[in-house]
Amino acid sequence: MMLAGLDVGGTYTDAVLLDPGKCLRIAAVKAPTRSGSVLPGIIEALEKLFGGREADPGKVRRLTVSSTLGLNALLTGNTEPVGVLALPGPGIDPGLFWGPDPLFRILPGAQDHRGRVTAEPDPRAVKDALLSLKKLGARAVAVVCKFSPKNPELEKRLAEEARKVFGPEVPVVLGSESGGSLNFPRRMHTAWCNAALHTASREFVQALHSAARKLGLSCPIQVLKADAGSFSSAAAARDPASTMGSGPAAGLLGVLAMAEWSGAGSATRSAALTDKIMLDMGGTSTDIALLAGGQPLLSDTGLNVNGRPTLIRTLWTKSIALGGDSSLRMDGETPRVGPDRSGPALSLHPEERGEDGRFSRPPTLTDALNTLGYTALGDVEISRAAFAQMIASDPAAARIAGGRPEAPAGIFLECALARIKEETLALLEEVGSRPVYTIRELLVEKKPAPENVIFIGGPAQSLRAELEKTLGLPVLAPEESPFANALGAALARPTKAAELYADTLLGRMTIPDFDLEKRVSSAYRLEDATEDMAAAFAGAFKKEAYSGEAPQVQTVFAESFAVLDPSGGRGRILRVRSQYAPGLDLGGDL
Amino acid sequence: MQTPDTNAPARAARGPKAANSLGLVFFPAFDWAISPTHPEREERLLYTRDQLREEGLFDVPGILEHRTEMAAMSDVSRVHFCPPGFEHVAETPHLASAGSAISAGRLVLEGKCAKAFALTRPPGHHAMKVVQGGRGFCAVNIEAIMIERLRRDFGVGRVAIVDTDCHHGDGSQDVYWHDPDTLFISIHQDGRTLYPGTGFPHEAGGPSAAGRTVNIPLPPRTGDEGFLYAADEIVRPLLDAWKPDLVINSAGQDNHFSDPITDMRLSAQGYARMVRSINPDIAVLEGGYSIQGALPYVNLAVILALAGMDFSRVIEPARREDLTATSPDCLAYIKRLRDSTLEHFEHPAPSSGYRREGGWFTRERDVYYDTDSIHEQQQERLRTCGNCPGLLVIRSRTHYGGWTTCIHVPRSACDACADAGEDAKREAERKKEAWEFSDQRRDVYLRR
Repeated sequence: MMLAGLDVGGTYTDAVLLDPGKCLRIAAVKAPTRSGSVLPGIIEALEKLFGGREADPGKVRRLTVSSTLGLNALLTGNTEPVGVLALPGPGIDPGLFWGPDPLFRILPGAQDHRGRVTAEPDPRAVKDALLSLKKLGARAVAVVCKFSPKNPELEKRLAEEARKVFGPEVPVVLGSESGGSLNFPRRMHTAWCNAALHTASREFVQALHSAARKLGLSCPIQVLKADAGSFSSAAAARDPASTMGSGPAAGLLGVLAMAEWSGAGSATRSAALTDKIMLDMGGTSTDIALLAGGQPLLSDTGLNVNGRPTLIRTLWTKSIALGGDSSLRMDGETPRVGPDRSGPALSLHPEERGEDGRFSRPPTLTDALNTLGYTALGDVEISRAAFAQMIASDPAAARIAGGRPEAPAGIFLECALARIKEETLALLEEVGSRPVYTIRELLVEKKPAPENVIFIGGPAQSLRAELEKTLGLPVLAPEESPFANALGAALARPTKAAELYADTLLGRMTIPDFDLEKRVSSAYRLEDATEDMAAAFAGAFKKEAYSGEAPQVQTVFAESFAVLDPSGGRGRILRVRSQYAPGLDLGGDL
Repeated sequence: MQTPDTNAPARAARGPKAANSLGLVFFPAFDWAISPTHPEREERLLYTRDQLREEGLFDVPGILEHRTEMAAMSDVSRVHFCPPGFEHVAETPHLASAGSAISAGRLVLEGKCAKAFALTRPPGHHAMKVVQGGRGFCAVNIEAIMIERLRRDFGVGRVAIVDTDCHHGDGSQDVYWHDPDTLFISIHQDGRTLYPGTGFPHEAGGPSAAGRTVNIPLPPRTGDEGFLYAADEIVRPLLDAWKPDLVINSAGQDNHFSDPITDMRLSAQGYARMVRSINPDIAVLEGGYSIQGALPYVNLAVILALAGMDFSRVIEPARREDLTATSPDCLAYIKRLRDSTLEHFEHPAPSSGYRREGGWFTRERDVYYDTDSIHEQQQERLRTCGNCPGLLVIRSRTHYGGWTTCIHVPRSACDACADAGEDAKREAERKKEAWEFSDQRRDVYLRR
């Protein structure tokens, strides 16, 4: 039983084949990523992967792809022009959430907070808007109405009009299909992304399938999402927005897998379910992510895509401007690390040293690590010389040195570690101080309590013990793999999140994430809702053509309100949010 | 795991901005009700929550939602006397609601935001100085608990409370009746036509704080124009003249034309313009029981007004011109009310209703607790003192309990009044009566 993972990076496209049950990597290959299209690199990597003898495509259970296709298309403007019909009704001017855009139209027609239609759309205005959008060159349409997750009726009516005007070839995306959470501006942007990427992603998925078939791969093809889970390629074609920002998710899963594999055994398996901090120190920044009960912690809001706030579920991370390239300088009497980047370590660029032996820029954190003997990157003597110059030219630096040339480097390192600690605690505080709306939560909700830290990035191995002292928590610095992202993609579990809304007075239940709607009676209760939700998940799981047992549906949130209508009617309003949680698929059973 | 900027802080990179940074403490107490069909029930802020979320409000830079904190029993005893014991009157929800107000106040005083709004329940403005039970859906006075905490922690001096709930804020009026440093202004539906039946212009403060209570009773069916006139032409000049350090708005949303238990005609637009005129530092939600037709829109409009954002598109679906109109007669009445109110504020009449007995102002009165059906009898004495507001002693009993002597040494009490407080305590001991003792100077609260 084997899993395949593929990660499209800026320079290389990596592919791995592994046996998760045995913690065994069977093959790993790299192919250059071509500019313009991600496909040739993917095909080359897959060909290399299955060129070897051990790699039998027939034994592969699943191929998961983490691709930058969607994001690249957005960044390069290589997308379809999208006409947007927005039906906001009363509230904040939706134009404020949108930049200047001739293809963005605000139309009359509204639904209220229970999804009731309170103002009918004006058919004439709808028709005129659609005709003008078509004339202006729109090649995709997004229709978004406020409170559409509670009732997609108006969106569906307008979508029908749009199809009449634009014809069947042009994609028409509904807001309610783009995320069931309540946030109209984010739903507009998410629907826009899905519409803009629709054609490109459909073509990509088709090409991916035909390439796989040629190689004899008949397994399901999954695409990685920003929430550190995967979904079927068919779902990715419909909802390409969710695949954006999958890179960091792949990385996090990959590191987690390396940490698991390096200490495989039952002890670590149970340790996998604890709360953890993940720190990744790069050249310009250090990224902090959290795992709660073994699951990557997801943001309450959603991914920011090229300035567009969306509903796309994504990791809750914090990025601080502190890395190996951060500049070190004295600010009066205070040593400062960053936030600006000085450039690569001076030790790597001896040629930058002037003829008088002087440096034109301050040393970096990496130079400090060199000086202290934690690393030996480039010419260590250059790093030492840079600090010597600082001591000679700055009386404040000389004072903290106190005659020991390596002392300032040590103090800068202490500052850097203290900053990491401060920001980590701030993130934990942020997570723990999320507003709560019930007395029960106010009294009992627990805050994350990390038991250890996984530390990766350039200086991780050498700084492990120092960070352990600073944070007062065990720090693991697992061996890193150049294939971590592909590994993470291969081991990603299928994820899905969905909201259910029911209003028994209106007799309506919707699960917009599955495009489900049904009539409900006044006897509909929370148990019925969770049952409907489980059935919807199971149905979708089957439809996505997975084999094996479906994962556990997790109810993230459930509420049931007794409702008294002003007219005297009594009923209930229910909301349930459920998910297949993200995490590592280590068992091998899917 | 190195993140591209697509994963940067999930805040809107484009979009509206709050001109005034606004902290929201939203605590809808979704698991608490007075009773299942009571207007003060779980569902009350459900639609408001959904509206605020759907608007994307919490993505607007400058608008930040904060978690509520719990008020401590010491925060409650700083404000109230409670002969039955706080544990029998103030339950967890009341402490959470008062805590929301405290959180909001701290956000402003700590400089974390320019303004704050505690969207919380249950409300509190009918809770008086002595609490024998629940009144008008309230148990403890959440604004007063916040104000006294802010005075202790941040040294806040002059505070103005502008109570715009449709019901007279008789609890807040009572708590600050003798406090010359707190200006209490209430705009409400005339007490002859609505609970609690008080709030007339002649109720203007106790003997040491004459003129510091200002009641502006508006006729039933006052609409947007009438309320705005009252805000612009009565409240605004009072605030400008008195120059408080802090303005608190007890924001009741029950003047709305669709409210089921009142008879006023204010719209969401009217509310927002009124709030903009009053310009409070901190707003605390009070009543408002048109939970579907009014609250989602009124609360949103008020938030946008506080944040200095455009609210012109917040128009409730049921709004019609004729439902929010103010009649010419009504407007003429409010104009006359302005003249007399401003005149009385400038030249307050001596407080009426008190007798002078041997160095004390005294009065007797009865208080009814409608939530719990309790009748209370009070004997109130205020020490006549030229140097401070004076020691306050209230003897209180209900139809089923004995007398309790409640002794209040005010913040700015002189030594003589503080000594008199000790005497009053000994006197109660001697008579073997229960007593409660509150010394705001030393922040000490005792009971026996």
